[in-house]
Amino acid sequence: MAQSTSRTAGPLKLVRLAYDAEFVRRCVSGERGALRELFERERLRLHALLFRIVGPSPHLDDLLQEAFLEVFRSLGSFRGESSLRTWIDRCTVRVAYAFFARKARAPVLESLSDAPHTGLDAEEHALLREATRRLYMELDRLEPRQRLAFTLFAVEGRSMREVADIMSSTQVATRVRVWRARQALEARARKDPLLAEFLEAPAAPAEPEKDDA
Amino acid sequence: MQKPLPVEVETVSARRWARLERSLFARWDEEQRLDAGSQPVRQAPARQVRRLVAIAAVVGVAAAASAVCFVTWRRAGDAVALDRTSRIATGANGSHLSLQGLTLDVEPESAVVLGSPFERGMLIVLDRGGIVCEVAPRSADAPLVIQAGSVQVKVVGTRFSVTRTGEKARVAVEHGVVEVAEGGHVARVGAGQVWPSEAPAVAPPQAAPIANPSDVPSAVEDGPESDVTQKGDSNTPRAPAKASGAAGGRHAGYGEAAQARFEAASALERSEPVRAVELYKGLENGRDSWAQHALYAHGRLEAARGNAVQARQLLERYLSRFPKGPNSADARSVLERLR
Repeated sequence: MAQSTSRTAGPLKLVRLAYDAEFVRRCVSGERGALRELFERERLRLHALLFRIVGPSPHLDDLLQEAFLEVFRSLGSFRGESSLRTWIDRCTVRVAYAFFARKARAPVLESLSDAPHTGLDAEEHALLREATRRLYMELDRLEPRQRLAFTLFAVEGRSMREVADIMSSTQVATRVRVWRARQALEARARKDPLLAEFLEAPAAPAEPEKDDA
Repeated sequence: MQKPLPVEVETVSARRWARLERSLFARWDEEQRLDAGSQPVRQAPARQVRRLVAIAAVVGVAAAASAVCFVTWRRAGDAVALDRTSRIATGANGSHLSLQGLTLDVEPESAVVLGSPFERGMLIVLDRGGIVCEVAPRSADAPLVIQAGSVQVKVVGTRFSVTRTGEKARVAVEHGVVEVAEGGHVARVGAGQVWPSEAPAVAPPQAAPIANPSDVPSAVEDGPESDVTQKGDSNTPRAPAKASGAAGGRHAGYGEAAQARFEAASALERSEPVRAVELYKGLENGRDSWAQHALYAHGRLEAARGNAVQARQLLERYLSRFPKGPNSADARSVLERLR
């Protein structure tokens, strides 16, 4: 939270917005160098964000490309009312939401055999990977907005205010979504000790209250 | 604030990032190209969905139509409803897909991105490996376009294969005709032909023999970059040395393609300056030596066309990126003139 507070401190924000405006102007004008710079600046962050929302998926690369295409297409509508990063996160979340909605309708064109999760293969991480796999299997059963709110809050580690901002929602509604997702996961976890242990790692979020909306 | 769940984000190799970036910008370029001339205002996905819903409502008889579509879909066996972009990556086994009017065999260890079909065509980006496509006859206005590195294949109706190696690709046509485009050159490849071929049935982009200045168009009269003072028209950028064999297959191939594009742009400056500008733009953001020459040439061309503001921006960008570049002195003198 302290990190989040320091990010929104006045002077820093002013500097960053000024930079963003100039940078966005170059991007909107279609300057290839600026678009590449944008990709270079944001690729790791957006990949991590999408991974935490979607989980290990053969569609991750495509979603990342979709997210960048969405950003490139929509840059003209960026008004500077939020930071460029928050605005990019919103685009990314929209792409993820569309993906979940699509997936719910018809899970088409599943990738065949490439395991995209090229991460750690150390033995001590095997259980963690399995728990992660089970978590995302369960998240697949959730309503997309609940899933997005939960992953942004509980996996990505954003504050409730940020999640609400990114999802263009109120904090109360967001808190309810996170809480419901958590309830559903915990219900599943009662039958799955590995998932239960995984979910136990952080503190559970408090039950939603009518507060800071 | 609670501690986040310990989900470890996968690591992405440099090669995967490079593939991803190439594929992204190929899709972006293609989208821009196809959008040119159509509605300038892009609709947001949500509005598109609403529009689709509205159209569906107007068309009406939704239940009957759905039933017909469902029966058709079931009868199509493995045909897949592709409503948006999808990526297919194969491992040890290949994959077979049947879409509307397109049968696609994705070879093992390959990756391909399928764009959503739309009224002006369909885009397939080959990230790696190979594909074999069989395409039902299509309208020339709505072609199937395959982008494999710097090579673009436009299809109207045929069976053919595309194999990608780095930025290059090999196209083999079994029947029908496809158009292959690379570096501004377009070649038609017919049944039984392969592109590029040793004995070219169609002309792949040819790099002009730089070693002999008299053989190349006047716009590229200058020889390879060297310590020797450049002769001839000082407005023409010094061309970099041709990629040597030691540069290795992929880099040499890419270098040659860039060189071919640069030379094509130079040759087109007088007859088709707009096309030349497009080719320079495609080169100038790269990281190879041709990028700086393209950037300077673009700036100089804009100056010659009377676009002073744009020329100044380009030449200043050139000087900031390559302050000691081979064309820096010329760039400064053109800038002086513009001021």
